[in-house]
Amino acid sequence: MSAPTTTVKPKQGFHFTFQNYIPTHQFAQKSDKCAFYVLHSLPPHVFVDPYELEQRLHDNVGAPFRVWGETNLELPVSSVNEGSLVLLGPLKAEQHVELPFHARYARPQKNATHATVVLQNPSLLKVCSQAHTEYWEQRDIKALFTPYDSPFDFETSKVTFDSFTSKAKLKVRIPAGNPQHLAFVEPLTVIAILLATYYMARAIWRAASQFKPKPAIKED
Amino acid sequence: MITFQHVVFAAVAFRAALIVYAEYHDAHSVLKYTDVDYRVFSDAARFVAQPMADNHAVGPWGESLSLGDPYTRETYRYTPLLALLLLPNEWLHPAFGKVIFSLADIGIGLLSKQLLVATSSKWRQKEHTYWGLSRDELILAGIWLLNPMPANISTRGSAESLLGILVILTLALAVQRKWVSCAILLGASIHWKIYPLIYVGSLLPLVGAEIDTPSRTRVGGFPNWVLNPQRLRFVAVSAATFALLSGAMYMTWGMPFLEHSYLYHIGRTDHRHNFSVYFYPLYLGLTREAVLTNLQSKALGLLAFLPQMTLSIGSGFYLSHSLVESSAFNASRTKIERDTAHHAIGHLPFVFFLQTMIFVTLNKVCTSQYFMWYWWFLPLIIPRLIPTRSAGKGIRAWKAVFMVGSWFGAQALWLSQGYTLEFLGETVFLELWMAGLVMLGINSWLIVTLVKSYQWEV
Repeated sequence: MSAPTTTVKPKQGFHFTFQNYIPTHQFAQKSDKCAFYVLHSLPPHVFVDPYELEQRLHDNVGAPFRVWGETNLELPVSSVNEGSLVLLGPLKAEQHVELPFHARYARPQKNATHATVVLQNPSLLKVCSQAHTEYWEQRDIKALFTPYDSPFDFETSKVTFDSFTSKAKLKVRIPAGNPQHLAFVEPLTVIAILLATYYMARAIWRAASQFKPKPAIKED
Repeated sequence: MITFQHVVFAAVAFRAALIVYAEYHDAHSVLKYTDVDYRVFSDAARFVAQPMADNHAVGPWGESLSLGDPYTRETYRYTPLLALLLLPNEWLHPAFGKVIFSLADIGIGLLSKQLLVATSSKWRQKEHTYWGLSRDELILAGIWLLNPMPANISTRGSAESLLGILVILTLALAVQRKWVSCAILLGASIHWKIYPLIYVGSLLPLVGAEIDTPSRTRVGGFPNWVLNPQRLRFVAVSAATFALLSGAMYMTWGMPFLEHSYLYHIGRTDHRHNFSVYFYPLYLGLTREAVLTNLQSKALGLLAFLPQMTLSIGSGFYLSHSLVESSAFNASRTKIERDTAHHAIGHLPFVFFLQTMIFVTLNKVCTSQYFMWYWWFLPLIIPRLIPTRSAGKGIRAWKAVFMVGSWFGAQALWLSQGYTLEFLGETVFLELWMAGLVMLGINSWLIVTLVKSYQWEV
């Protein structure tokens, strides 16, 4: 029996998708009492859009989800201190589940055209009702959700986990600017704006100076 | 024979069909017809309608009104009035907002028709008709009412047409010299989006110009110019309208309203790629120490602000003032002078267009929706750009085609690089910035060509 697998496509750009597959296997056997969850831990370089995930759920192409951490899509990576956690589920065995995610602008790099970001393989959690999780097992599950609280009730559910496997290390390449460009991009931007302003202002000034005042009109 | 009413009917039917298609398309495709922004507006309306412990209006009036906070929705950066207007999205149908935006589109077309009649010269009254439509009506149909671009934008759920109808109504009232009503609409427009503030520059010289004495229009007469009672009233009414609307919003929704509706836009810089040339130096500036990055961001913000505001407001003021001077307003009016007063105000649509295109071209952030802000003036200005025998200026057909081609071509160049960066993941930041320079150059050239070709004499 095969293990759960994951891959990321495409390999470079700003918009990616985790493609996860949960086959029936020793860990993930079909059961009425158990549900499966996929837990992604994302570094600060990438983020998910909760509203996009909500739309996908509404369209029946996405899974129920929960997100913790930083999801502000407008921040550059230099302004982000934490990544995010995404929990997809409940899911069933023999299910494909995708997670679209996006890249922040990477720090400009002198000697590379791209920033390479390594991604953790997601974890597959099995949550079975009418059981409880042993204390020593709780510690491992809680560690997966650190620094956030696990959403599962360990008194009424037995939670165990396995890892997704991938053919190669999961990584994506994000385009990065060249800081050496700043030396000419910044002054040229200033010059271009000032030149454009002068060019337009001069044309308007000349047009208005051609308006001829009308001769004085005698009163009736 | 086609009448203008037929055109309006066709425009309504066109938009209705697109709205119905959007519902079908979105229900059957992962790639949506509806714009992401429409979901933002709709979500904000839902948050307003469903107050909860962690979602409620935080202003002094907020609690008693029992309203939710539209700013609970991330990236909602608009006046709460928009969310309130879209409350029927929750109660009636999710497409209600699109219907309102499309009706605003049609409203812009109808107002533009009135403006074309009000600002046309006498010699234009006798002209050819084309399948029953006058040339101006044909232009209005082609550029606005039946043009797929504005129809697509409003039926995808962009709210720009609401701003458009406020601005065009402001213009229409100015042309009719209904200054109090004009001031109210201007105040409302500025509340809706800050940039219509630039129109104060072109309106002030016209307000009360008929009671300006020659001494008021000279440099030494500046205090008298400022103290023109009609002008003072205009500024007071406009400011009061803005203050009332914004005050009511602040009293209801508190600081989140100020932060998201105004402060965010005033201080906004975007390091991510957009049509503006500022994005790349802002992005590269992130490599500096935090203090220097902030300094650079502020410096570039100031660089963007000063030329942009000086030119967009200043050009409006200078052109309007010069037109008034050349029309020789004075206190003793004859019929000829009343006609020349009409002459100055007749150019106001072009001045508004110019100010707006300058503002967008020099803005520190620029996306496609900003182009709509001057697009809705095009049907009003094109008639005065068509060459005539009596005036030596105008733009020949081949040059017009070249200009339109350049405008679209510059965008296509930028978009090709944007696609390569964003979806193919190639590092083409420098090429994208250079394409932004091309856009800046092309748009500046277009503005200069239009100024030189516009028929100020008619």
